Amino acid sequence: MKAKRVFFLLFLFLLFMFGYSWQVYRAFPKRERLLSDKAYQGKLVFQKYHCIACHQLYGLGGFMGPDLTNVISRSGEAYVKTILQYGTARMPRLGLTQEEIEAVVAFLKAVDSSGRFPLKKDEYKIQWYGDYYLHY
Amino acid sequence: METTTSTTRTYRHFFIVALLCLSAGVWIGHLGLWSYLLPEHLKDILPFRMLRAMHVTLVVAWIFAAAIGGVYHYIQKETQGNYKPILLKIHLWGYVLLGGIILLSYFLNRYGGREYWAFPPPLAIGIAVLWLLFAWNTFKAAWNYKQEKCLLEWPLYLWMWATGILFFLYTFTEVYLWTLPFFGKTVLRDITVQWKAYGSLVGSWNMMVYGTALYLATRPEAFRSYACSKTAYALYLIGLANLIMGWAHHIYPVPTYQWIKTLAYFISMTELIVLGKLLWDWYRFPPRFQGPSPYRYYLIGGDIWVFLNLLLAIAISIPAVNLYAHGTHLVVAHSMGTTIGINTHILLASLFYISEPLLSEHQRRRSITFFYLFNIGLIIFWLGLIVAGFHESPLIGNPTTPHIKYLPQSNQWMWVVLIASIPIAIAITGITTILIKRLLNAVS
Repeated sequence: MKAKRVFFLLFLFLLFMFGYSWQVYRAFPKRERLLSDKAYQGKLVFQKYHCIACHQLYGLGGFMGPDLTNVISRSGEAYVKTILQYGTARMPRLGLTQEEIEAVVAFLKAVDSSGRFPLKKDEYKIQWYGDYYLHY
Repeated sequence: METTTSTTRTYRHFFIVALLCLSAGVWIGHLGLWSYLLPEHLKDILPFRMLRAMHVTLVVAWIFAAAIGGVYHYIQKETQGNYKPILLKIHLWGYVLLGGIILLSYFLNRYGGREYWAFPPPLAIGIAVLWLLFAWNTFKAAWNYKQEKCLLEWPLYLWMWATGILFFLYTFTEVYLWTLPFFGKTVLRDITVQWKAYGSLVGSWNMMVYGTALYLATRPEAFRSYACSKTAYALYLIGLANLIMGWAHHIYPVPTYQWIKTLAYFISMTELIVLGKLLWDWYRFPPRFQGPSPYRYYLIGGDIWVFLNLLLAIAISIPAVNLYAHGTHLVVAHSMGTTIGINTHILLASLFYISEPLLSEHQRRRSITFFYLFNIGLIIFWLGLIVAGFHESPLIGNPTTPHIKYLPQSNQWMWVVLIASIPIAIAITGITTILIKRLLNAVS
């Protein structure tokens, strides 16, 4: 009897876990846009050169280079293309092809339009219990 | 010399592989710090992206190999279940071969994966297959035990190992959901699912490591019943809830659904109960570094690092604090404190526990000396990262500040981190040398 109760609770737990996961998977926030084929290619190039080892998106990644979430609106496409082509004193010249550079820029433009990071003071609101929500 | 069977030889080989990975991982991490601080001179000779990928892979390989070897060893001891020696050998040599291929791919600048799992994605199939083999071996051995004892009477550590094994399979599959266009062709959904998978995956290996800690802590006869107590099960449920839903504290600034983040906030705060329980236990049984057993030192060391990291984890899980900590080295301090501070202490305790009968008095004393050296280095290393993070955080809120502007303030503390990594690497080399020598003697 006790075992049956435990297995029923286990079943409920699994149901909850998969239900929760499904809710997370299907989340499509209002700022979300599907990537174009070119931007998707750019994402794969971004992974191929392991850019996230040194850079961040939304503050997630390595801290050696700057966060790239809004690099397009902050520095402009031309600047990003130049860095990708030649590198900097701190960043190696990766040898990207022109096509790869265009694709990465398309990906970074898509990331740029998806949100803001770092947040400015007027882009979030702290709740009384310590949580905060974004309202940009 | 004790008689060793084929299976015990194999899991001792797992320990040797684990220790080699740890030692190499720590030294490569040290080199990575040089590359981080002097990229102008080292970016082509010692590329940071390669060293970081190698460091992460080796340290994760250490945690898994030591945990896997331990689980094999303890399950056999606990359940008297038998393994098929050939399956254990396939697991071991498959692990070594796959690890070698992954490191080679980094060396040849072949990436394609993501942060932490940077290797080309097809290699993940090998990891999944080996994990299935591990699951088969352990569950088959534990099945005999099940028939003798009701599942409900299992000591908690068996449940924790089972949870870790099953959740790894689930979360590792989630890690690769990005290969499907439904996830991969989005930005926010993909980041959300990626961090759901990463957070839970770390939780799954923590289940295996903390299960090992519980096993070791309940070896003295007086504490044995604790592994079946309601308190232990309640703490396990808190851990499980955090494993499933606590991950979203990593993505507070990502503009995804608010409920995911708020839920994670409240779930993360349940760790306050664990913190309270730890302090209560220390009040009742103050931890004492004494006696000739190195494993006790490392186990208590792990406990102290649990306390320090819980403080930091709870602080940065508060969204209003996370606003300033996210995207800084404070988060790195948390992950280093967890992997090197907690996991490594517990797994070294496990290895010392298993090797204790093989150690001479002189080796025990040296192991304890290395324990102190390791911890002196680690506390400076950890504090250095925290202070570096503090220097970065006021500027994180100011998007107009170029990254290069706050680097000098942060980097002066990263030099402290680099210097502190030297005693850590020396101590780890000393510890691994002692353990490997003994294990090699035992398997020969």
